[in-house]
Amino acid sequence: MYLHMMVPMINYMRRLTPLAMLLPTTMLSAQVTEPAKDSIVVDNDVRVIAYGRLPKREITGSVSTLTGTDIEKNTVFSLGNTLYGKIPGLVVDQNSGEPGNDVPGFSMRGVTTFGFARAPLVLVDGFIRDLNSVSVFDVEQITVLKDASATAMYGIQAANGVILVTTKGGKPGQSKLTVDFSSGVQTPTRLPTFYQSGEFAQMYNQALKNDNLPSLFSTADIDGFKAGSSPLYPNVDWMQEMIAKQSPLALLNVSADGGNKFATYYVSLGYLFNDGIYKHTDINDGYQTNSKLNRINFRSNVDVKVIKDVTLRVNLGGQINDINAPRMATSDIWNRLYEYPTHLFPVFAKDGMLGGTAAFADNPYGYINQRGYRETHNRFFQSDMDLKYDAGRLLPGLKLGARVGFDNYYTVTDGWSKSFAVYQTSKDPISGNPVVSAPIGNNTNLTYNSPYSEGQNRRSTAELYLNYSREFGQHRIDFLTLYNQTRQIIGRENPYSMQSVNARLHYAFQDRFFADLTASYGGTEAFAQGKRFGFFPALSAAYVIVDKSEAAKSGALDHLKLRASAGMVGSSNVGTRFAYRELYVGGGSYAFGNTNAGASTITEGTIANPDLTFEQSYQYEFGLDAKLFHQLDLSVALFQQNRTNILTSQSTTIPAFFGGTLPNVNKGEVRNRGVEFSLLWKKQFRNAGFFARFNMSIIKDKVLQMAEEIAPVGSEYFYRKGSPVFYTYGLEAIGFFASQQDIASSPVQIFGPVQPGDIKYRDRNNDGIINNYDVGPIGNGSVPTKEFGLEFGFNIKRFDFQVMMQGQMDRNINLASYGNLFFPLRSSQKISTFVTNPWTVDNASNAAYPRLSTLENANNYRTSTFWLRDGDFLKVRSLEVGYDLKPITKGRSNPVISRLFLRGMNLFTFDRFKYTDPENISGYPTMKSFNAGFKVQF
Amino acid sequence: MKSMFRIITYLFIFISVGSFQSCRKYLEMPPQTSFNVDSVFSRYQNAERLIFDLYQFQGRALATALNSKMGLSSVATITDEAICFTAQNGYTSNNVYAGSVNSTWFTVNGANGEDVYDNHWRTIRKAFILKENIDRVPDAPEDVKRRIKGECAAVIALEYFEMFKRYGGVPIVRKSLSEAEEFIIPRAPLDSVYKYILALCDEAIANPDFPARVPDEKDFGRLSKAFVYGLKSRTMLYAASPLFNTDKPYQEFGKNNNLICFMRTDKNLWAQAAKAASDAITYCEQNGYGIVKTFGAARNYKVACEDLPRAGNTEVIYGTFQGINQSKLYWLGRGTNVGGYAATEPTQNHIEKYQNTDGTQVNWNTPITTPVNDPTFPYKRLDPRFHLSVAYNGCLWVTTNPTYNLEIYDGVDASVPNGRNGFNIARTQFAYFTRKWLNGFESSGVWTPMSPYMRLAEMYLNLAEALNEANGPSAQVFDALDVIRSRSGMPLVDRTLNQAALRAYIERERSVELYLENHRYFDVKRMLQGEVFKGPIYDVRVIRQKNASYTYTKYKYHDRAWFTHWYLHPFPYNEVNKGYGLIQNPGW
Repeated sequence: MYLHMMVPMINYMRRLTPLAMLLPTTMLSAQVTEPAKDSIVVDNDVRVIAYGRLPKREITGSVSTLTGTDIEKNTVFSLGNTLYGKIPGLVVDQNSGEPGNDVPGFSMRGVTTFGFARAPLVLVDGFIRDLNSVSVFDVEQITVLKDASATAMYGIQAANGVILVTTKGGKPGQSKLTVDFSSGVQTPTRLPTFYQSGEFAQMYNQALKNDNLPSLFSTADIDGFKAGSSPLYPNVDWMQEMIAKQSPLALLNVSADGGNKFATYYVSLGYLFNDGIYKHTDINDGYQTNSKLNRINFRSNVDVKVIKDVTLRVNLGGQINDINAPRMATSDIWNRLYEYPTHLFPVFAKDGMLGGTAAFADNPYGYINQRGYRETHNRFFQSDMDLKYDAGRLLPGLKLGARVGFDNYYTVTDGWSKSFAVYQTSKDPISGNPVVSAPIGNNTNLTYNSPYSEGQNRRSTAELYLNYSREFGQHRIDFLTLYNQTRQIIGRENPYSMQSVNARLHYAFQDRFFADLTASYGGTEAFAQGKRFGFFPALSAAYVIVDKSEAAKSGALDHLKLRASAGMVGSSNVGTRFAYRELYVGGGSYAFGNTNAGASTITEGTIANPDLTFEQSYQYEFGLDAKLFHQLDLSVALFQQNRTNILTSQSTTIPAFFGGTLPNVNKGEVRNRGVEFSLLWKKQFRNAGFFARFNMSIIKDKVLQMAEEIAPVGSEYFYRKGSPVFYTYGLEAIGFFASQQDIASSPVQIFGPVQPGDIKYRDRNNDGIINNYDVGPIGNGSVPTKEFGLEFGFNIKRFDFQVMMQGQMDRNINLASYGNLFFPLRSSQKISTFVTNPWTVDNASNAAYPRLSTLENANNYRTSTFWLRDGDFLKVRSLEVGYDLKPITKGRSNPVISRLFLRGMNLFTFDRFKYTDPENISGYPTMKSFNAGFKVQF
Repeated sequence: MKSMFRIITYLFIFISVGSFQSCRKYLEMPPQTSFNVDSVFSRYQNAERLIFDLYQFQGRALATALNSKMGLSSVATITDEAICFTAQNGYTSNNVYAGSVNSTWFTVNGANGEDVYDNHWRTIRKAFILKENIDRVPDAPEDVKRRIKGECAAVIALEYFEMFKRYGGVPIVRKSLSEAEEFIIPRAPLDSVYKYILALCDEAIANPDFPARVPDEKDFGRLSKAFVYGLKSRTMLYAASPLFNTDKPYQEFGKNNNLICFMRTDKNLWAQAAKAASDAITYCEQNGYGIVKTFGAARNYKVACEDLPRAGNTEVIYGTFQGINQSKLYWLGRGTNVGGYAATEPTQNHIEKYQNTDGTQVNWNTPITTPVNDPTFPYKRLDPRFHLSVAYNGCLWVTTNPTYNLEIYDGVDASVPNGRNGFNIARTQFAYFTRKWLNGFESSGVWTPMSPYMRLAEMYLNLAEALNEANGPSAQVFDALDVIRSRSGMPLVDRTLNQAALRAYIERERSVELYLENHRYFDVKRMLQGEVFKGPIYDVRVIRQKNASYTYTKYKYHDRAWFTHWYLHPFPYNEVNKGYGLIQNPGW
């Protein structure tokens, strides 16, 4: 938002304002004569960087940028969900599709630490804020800062990378009103399915047989289930009963921007609505129990030229979320949908009387609709102000400024709850007719639950800065120094404070050679004096070997830039604060004396670690940007990061006889290396054009140092050192036991008694016994080493088409983490259709699944290669077909520009898992949506 | 215009300088709300709370199902005296039955095993810190400080004994270790650990300010000198027993044999153990302890095991309250008037250890059919301790109005209704419920139990056993046993028993008297009789006949696993993996 009145032409800017304009330069607005046409930032060439902007060719660090137009072709509720596959190196992890609970997770350039914080630092308009507090429509640019050179201005918080979101501003000379609307339906990408009662009964009998127990279901029962005509033989597909095929969603955004040479503005108001996918949720009088999100957001960004040389910018933004949901926790609801039997009771035992038994009293119908509802209300309010003074008269090129930001966040969850009765259906012993039992449980009235989750926090930031830029012949410098202090107060916790002094010197020679020297000296209250502050320097340089002006001569190569950087940044969020103090804390109470009164105790707390400090990240990068044949943009980056000082537990190495709780120490080390690659091919003819964009990152990490138990000789594979941080460790399955003889002649598996049909493991250390020492690395974790994005689009006259795909490779799904879907009959009273061809005596050679069992089976149900599945996928994240109507110009100063579009989100998933969504295996499903909409600009 | 420019410049500089000044303390430490080592020892009031903390893990060592051992199924259920509901996976005793015991859970914190190895060391550290720093407390008299030092020595001795009996030789720590030290302390030979425990006991005994017994009103639940005498007796009894008192350990351990046995057989240890027991009895009785015998034969045992000193229990040397109104559901059989989870239920094997009050035994080897309407027929004449420890079919469970009799039977066929506590209705697995510690609490789901860790009765049993081993049968042995038996109205011991028969008699008497008090598991092991844990474990099935008589049929419930290497516990496997040289016990 610093420079929304950016000068449109790069050359012009370079000449007239030769400096890199590292700070908002609204005073330039007076010089603007011709605002850019549609996009605010002209051909993506001027990029937001840390505390400033810079033409792309001058950037020496690792910076990727998206503009508002890049992401607005998404119908999503969280800004984070627009970023899949868009930026090489930024890994976005899909979450559930529940309204109000669909915020994805982020990590920059794979896994760089096993420490507490892995998420990048997010700043909105220069202040630390939640990425999802900003509406997609209000975004001007999203910049991702990846290497130490780009992030060093954020020093002690920068190691995990930085995402900068810049909101839109107005432009002088024109006033326009834009209305965006889209609406559609959502449907789950995939839902798990389960065997019906008849098949279930047969399989259950088989499981009992495997356990040497008598059958439960007679042939008559099985036939009864298959016929499905008697209430005595229910067959309930709970998914179908309770999960709707589709749910509606709608987004509306109205914004206006404009201004004159004294003031510019951008204001917007948005509303969105997203309904959940539970069925029958409006059966209650006066309230609904469906998951539902209603959001209102607004933004007002105003720039005012107060007096000559002094400009003031005030940004206000806010969001109000009202989320409704069934009273019971989402995970509990889905556990019941997955686990509740199909065969035991019908949805309704009789009219209006829900079916159930004492052991299964949470009939999912009632559980979703008759337990009441809960409401979450949260509000973001964000405000910031920037007062800038052009002190050019004191010293040409000098600017001074001060910025403050105040943010407030509040959330509260309260609800109304009730309970319901269920009725068991059983067979009358004499007549053989179904009879309904007395109620199990009670039907109660709705009672109010006072807020059970409430939180508020606020953050205040103050900054002072000084910017000096000057040109000396062929040399140009731009110097920025900035003091920052930030305090966040979360509820009753001790305030979180940060303080830093930061500086950057940007140097340009002949407009071909560029260098940045950046440094930050910053600290946090979390550590002991002497360990609080760190110095974080970075140096980077770039050389433009081939420039556009020479393109005509070189032919194929239009532009070539090489860049390199090295630096060190920190991560202060290590998950523990004030560990430098030796504390005695309250222990449990213990009863003494005849009165049995508990005596309160004091106990030695965790032993102090006065040396506790931040993680350090040494980052090196080499990159290349090129343009070929006037139409092909290529950029490649090679990078390495060495994260040191990662907190690691000593308890794995210090003997128990020490007797105390030892603090974690900064001794862990992770190395991370990778390559990023992106290619854009773009061509526009007179009436048609196309583009294709591909980007990919291949990143591997490796634990170099971590406090670990000593592996016994012969079991060195035990170590996590040398493997990626999130590698899966488990046993190696080598098939099923074929017979008792097979069991007798194989190494003893100590996890529990085994039978033919149980999983057989490899004795990795050949000691004749299968135990935890045979656990070793068996596969990738859920974090991919390869991530890619592929975008393609074309336009013919007024039609355009665009599709965006994203994929991840080298990731595994560990089914052992989702027992109620993949471990049949363990916590669940159903068998999912994922279970095919289980082991039986007759089917031993073809078996694809271990023998079914009605008992706990600690041998089979543990992490092993048997439960690892390939998690690679390619998803079509968004697809849009659009039509631009002919602008209406008659009788108007501003033409009316309108566009109609059809849009699909998450439409297809290509993968090998094929059961549920490979990123969101269980719980509230990921959604895909189909939308239609329009955009009108007056 | 020029002045405006100046004003702005000065204002900017002024604001900057001012802000930097105020920012100097921006990263101030938050207010100190807790104690550090100095402030804790600056007042006796705080230091006292550290003393209380010494007992933090002791509560879990006690007998009732309130400890989290074996996933609440309690240690008794891995012996032949009790069994847990076998369909409940959370009861980790089921793993023991199946033979699935390993170093990844049996002694690991949070894994619901028999022990938490780390907790012994945590308590030892607490005791050393207190002992080393108590002199810094300015506002406590010297005798109080000395008393605390004695108490610390006693706590350390207790912890070492608890490790000694489970693990054999363990590292010897003589002070609170600091973080800067080299942590290389190998397992000490068993003999050294034994001597260290005795030295700590002697230190506590020699302490003039460590009280002989604690004042019950305020300090019941804390250790005393009487306890240390008892601990010494117990330690020496274990040391004299064949598990340790041998040159051939239960499993060959090569050059490490000295970690798990004394490397010689010393008969003398029995004589020393006898003297220690006798000293303990003498010392306790000189200091006001005595066998409870004034409440009548039918009640004495209850008072001795379950009541507070204030209610006349002169026998409990160390015991503790476990909080008010704790849930007792785990301790109850399924389907009682207030529910129950059947974590710990008596076995038929144990029932058969009770004699009739005339010294005869009930013959269970053929089915017993009772007279009409007399379900308690087989149990009527049994030892009063049986009636106070076990609930059975037909017994009066709730004695207050409305009364409640247990009906742990099923009907012989559909025409005879099943009993409300029987298998077919309440899904109980076994015919017996636990009653010990529940006497008087039958009508509610909560209780306020006192559970004893050491009673004077044990000293008499220790004395009898040690004397019989040292010198064979003698009047002293018989008299010691009779003290215990007669207070429950049982007849005198047959004076003609030979040494071996008397040994078996003492073992039987010990398991009856100390039922569920966490002795049996270790007694059987120290006597090298682990094979008895294999079972078979028996139960009885009770069937109500059409004529309202009842048939009791003994049947085998299951066999259990037992391995020789189970004689000593495994160290947690991640402890062994720490690489400082901790040698795992053989077989694990």
